[in-house]
Amino acid sequence: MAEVVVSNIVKSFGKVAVLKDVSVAIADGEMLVVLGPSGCGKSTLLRIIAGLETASAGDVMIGGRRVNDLEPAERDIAMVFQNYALYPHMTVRQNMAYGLKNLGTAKAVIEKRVAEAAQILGLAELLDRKPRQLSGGQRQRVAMGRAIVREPEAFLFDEPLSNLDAKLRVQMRHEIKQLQSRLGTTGIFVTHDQVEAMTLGDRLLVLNQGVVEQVDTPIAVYARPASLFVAGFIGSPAMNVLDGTIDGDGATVSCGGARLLLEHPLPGAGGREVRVGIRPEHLVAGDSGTSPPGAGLDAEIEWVELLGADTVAHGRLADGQALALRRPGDRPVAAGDRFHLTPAPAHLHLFDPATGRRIE
Amino acid sequence: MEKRVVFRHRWLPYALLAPQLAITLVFFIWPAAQALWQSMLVQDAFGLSVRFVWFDNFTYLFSNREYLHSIRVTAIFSLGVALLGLVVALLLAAMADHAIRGAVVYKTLLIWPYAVAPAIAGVLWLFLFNPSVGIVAWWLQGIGIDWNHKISGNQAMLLVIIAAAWKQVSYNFLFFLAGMQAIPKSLIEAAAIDCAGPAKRFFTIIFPLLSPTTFFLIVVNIVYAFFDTFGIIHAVTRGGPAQATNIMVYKVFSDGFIGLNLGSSAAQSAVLMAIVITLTVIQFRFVERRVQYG
Amino acid sequence: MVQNRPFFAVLVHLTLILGVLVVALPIYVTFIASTQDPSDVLKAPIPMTMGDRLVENYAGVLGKGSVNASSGPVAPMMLNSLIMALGIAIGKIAISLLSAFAIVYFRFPGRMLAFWTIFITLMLPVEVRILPTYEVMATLGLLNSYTGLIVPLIASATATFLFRQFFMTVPDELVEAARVDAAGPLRFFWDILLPLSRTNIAALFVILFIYGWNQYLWPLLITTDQSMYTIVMAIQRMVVAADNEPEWHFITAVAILALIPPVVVVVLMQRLFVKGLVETEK
Repeated sequence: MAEVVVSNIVKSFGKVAVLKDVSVAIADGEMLVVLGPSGCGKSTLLRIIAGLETASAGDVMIGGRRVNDLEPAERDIAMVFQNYALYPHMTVRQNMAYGLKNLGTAKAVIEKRVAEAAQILGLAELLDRKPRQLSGGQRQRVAMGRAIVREPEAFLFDEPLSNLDAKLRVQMRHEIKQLQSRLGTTGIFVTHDQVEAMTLGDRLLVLNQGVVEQVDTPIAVYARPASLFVAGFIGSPAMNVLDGTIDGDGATVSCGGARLLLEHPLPGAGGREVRVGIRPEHLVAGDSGTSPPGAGLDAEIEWVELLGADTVAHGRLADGQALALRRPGDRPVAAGDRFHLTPAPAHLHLFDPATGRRIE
Repeated sequence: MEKRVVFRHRWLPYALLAPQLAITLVFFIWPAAQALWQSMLVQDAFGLSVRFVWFDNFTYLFSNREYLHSIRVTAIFSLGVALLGLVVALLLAAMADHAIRGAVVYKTLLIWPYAVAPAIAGVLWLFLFNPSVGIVAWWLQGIGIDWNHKISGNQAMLLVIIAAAWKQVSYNFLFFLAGMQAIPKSLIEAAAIDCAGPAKRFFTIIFPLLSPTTFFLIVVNIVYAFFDTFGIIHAVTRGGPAQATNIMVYKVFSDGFIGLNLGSSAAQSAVLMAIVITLTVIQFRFVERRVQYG
Repeated sequence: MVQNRPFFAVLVHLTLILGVLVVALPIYVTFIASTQDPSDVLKAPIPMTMGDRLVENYAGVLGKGSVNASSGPVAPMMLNSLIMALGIAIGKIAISLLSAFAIVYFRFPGRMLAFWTIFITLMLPVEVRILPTYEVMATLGLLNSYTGLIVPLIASATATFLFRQFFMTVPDELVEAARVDAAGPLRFFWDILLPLSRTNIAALFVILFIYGWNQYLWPLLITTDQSMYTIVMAIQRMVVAADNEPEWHFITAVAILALIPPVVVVVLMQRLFVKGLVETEK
């Protein structure tokens, strides 16, 4: 168990920079989820930590030890691969024992650890089967088991749930979370799935085109996205983003034909163009009482998605900007309905149109 | 196509390649270079002196009636082998593709000649056609054909073609059958709705779809007829009678190894090398290699 | 298939049966002849049913050789053929696995050069370089030896390419898992790549065993000592001798003995054989 520190990692393939100065410190026992769209460099980051790829610049420290020049096996990490990477010709037992055997661990120790891991993961009955005789979830567990028996300083997960069906994914998500906190091992989990990220991570690192957009707890990332990219990537349906201008007094923002009250006034910012983000679930119909009278957004619904528990209604403001709002499933909405929407000031997110960064 | 993940090691890859490369250099590249070099040399009658003559050996070769005759013989032989082997195999494969019951059994019974060495195949057919004791020769006599391949050049050619094609039918059969079985059933069913009988279906749908396989097999069969049939010729006719079956590969051997004509044999080797290279390039560049086996 | 036409089905089976018979005819006649009394073989037409000399003829062929001494006993020749076939098959597989492993799993200066050097062997069959190869063999003192029969034939572009092709399909993640599991290149090769290649190795073995057993020109070139003859190359001498004093009951028995091992291998390991054939495609 150890702290993992990544500092100023740069990785280029030829002229293409995949990671641009990535730094993050993962505390001992913490689970950090690296989240981002495909091609953002998240897997490369993980592989650099694992030692499967070499960084162009920067350092990786595991437990206070600089591991840049060490082989993966010498870094005291264990990895769970996307396709599990189980050795198809070995039994479950052999798969789990292989790494320890290569490291010269005593036979008795190997047997004990494999038995323990099998117990924890419910694989005891399957130890003599080959991977092809196992279900997807079982294979996933074997891959976990292979990582556990190493008793490593850190677990590295490379989208390990992406090959499972939806139901199994929820279950394995839960199991991984439990296991990691029970063992107290530092974990780094790479995924493109925001639900996985929100539920698994102690903290999230949102990566976009090789740049760290935000590192924070899942709730903070949801509540206070640091950039337009994060705002759009986290949350479903995605956050509405409208064009707006700060009014002269700095206390309100004009957007979509309405003036919305800001939580924190921005004195001296009068006339500044901004992007205003409001989550669909925060677009409350009716007068909230917190905005100046008549200051809400007027939207006409154009089409509706009935999701059962929720209804997502897509509409347009008077000035033609599109937006979506989310309502409980038991409150019928139809195309043509008009809404007067007054989001709470705390639910408005302002972003700089040029840099995409959050305006505080 | 390259692996993304590789190992790093300073000398290991060289050590791994060493045996293969050593054998290749000593037994392939060096002798081949020798052959090319010798093809430009002429030795005097007593083997005492050697002269460098540039391309004289080749000029001589291509004006030599015997060599030109050998080229013609090779052409007839390889076309004969390819044609006979392919047509018979195609017919049998088309039938096996239709045989719902017993297809596997027929396959087993048809593929084993591949395992028979060319020289042995030659001996088997030699025995069948032996003018004094051969059963086929005796049948032929019964219908008024006087068979003696030791005298008739045409009959000798026919005999070696039959022996060589017999062995190759199994190979062609396997690939044709695989090609046919790879054609989607729905296509055949659509064809059955669109047009009449099986024969028409075969020639308008199946055979055109098989053309990559056919082209591949034509090249393979020609390569086979050129280079792998030495044993048949050597065991059955030794190039005779009167050079009638003296194919190029056999001539290199007899001129060089028996006739000890160094320069000419080397020049013939060089010509054959050019032919193999051409055929290999055709095979790799233009032939659809991915034949699906169902 | 699609339609059900009884007449057509009959035609299909008749054609196939005819094909099987024509394919089998030479073997059948040869086998019958090999069981006959020498005098019966020389009658035209020869009998079409088995004679009573099966055991005597084959025992004689294997142990004593021909009556008029045109050939020695065939048993040692079969042993030579077996050694040569096994040596070539195993040798080719071994060095091809190693070089394919080097080419696929390493990046090093000269890699492409090595690749093309191996590729070139495709274009240089023995047949096109008979004399100089013979000279090399003579210089190295490899005539009339097992080394000479085997080693020069084990370089193989086809087998190397087959393994290269297969290695390319092995998921990269397995290599990475192995690296995390502290397996170096040789351990990965031995513990993971080799077991995964089992089927390919077996399929190739079937093809190469046949290839090795059926070698003709090569042993013809480099063996002059009868104790080194292989059965396939030796038969030609018997046929030539037969021009003077035909011993067809003897030659036919040798032919049957020469074709039995590879044919048995093909029939028993048909699946592997077909796989090997399709994958080497040459």
